[in-house]
Amino acid sequence: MRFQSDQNTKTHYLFPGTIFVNKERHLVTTVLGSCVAVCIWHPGSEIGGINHYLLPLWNGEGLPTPKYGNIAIVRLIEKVRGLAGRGELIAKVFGGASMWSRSEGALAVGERNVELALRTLEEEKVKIVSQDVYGEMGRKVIFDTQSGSVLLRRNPNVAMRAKMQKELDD
Amino acid sequence: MKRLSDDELIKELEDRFAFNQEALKDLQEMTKKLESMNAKLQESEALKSHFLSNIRNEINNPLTSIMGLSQQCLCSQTESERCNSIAKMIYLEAFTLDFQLQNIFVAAELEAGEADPAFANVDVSTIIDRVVETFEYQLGEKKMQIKADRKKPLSFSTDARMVRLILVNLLGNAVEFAPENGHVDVVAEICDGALKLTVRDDGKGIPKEAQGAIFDRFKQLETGTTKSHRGHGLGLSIVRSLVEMLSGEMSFDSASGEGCTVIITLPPPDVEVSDSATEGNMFIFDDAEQF
Repeated sequence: MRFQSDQNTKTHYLFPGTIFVNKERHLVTTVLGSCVAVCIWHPGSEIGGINHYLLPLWNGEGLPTPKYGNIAIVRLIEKVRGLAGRGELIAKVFGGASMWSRSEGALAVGERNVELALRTLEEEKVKIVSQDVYGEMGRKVIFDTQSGSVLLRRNPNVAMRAKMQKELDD
Repeated sequence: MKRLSDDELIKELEDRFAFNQEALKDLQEMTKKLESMNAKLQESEALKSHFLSNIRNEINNPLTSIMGLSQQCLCSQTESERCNSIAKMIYLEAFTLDFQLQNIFVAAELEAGEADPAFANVDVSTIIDRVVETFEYQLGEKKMQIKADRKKPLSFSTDARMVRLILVNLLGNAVEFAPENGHVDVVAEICDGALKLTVRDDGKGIPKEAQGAIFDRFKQLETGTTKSHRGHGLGLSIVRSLVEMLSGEMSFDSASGEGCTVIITLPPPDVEVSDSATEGNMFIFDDAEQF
């Protein structure tokens, strides 16, 4: 199995709005709802990084932090390139669930987050090798920065849990 | 294919027309929003270049003053009383420089996404005391006081450094903008498990029409070479980002001439955070998938 950890493996909990890139192997954990995490991996040097953004576009308010997808993705690619150098990059995209059963238009943050990731990665010419996006489930992602592999667990949201509970009760 | 009567046809056309009209309205609204966002981004970019072209002055000038002043002090003839007042000026210049540089570095850290909150149980009252201490000299100069109202100790699980930066910036603003003999109040309390920080000053306040812009980076209400307050306009945008980082909320209440009250509420860190400390559990979920 490619996904192995022992006591010496370093771990990192990725907070929303931050980026993590490291030369050393790390298992990076993050929890997503309507947020999106993009994992970028450089196969040549086995160096990878991950972000976790909350909203698609920075609107000029406050600081242009990686809380916003348009900042977070470009900055993540820059950082991985900075450590790994030239060569092909691959990407994996996760998250973007709709956390409310009725969310349309401007409210569909999850959807817009995912669309931005797909578009930006295409513009940056980074190939998306796998993705698990949309839906109504929260996700827990564990990214291995060295192998580039991702372990993902889906987490039903409150509404779905209630529904499932009801089905059980009936 | 179903045949429609004339009435039905007209009804269908009307419906479609109404739908198109609605879509057009939405589109127009969206365009308007995009236009205003675009203007804002352009302005932000312009302010950034302005800041970069001015950074030389902002950093070099205080340094030049510090060097000039300390040189004066070093002249053997200078009396000790004069030396004392020079030392005060040096301190003030160095304090401002240190304050601004700290903010620039924090902003850079936040923009790079490298500011990870490190949650721990901290005594908020001690943080407040330390921050108030740093303004001791300015307070003396302006004959003003900071009144801190909090329990001692006030224990809360949060990132000590971020709370300190939030308070330093809020109190820095309050002290800077409060009048001589003015008052600044800091209140820290735990409400429903959340940490509530209130900073109140009796300065000239923020006019309602300018309140939308105060969190924008590099934005100061007063600009140009004649502005009476120093700084880069980074403070509040940093505070806002830090509060967001800690999943908190921030509100303020102010009007021209009526001082300003800023309230920050920081919730206790959610369970997932403490979960992160024990990550050995990642393989117990049998429905985990690999990508």
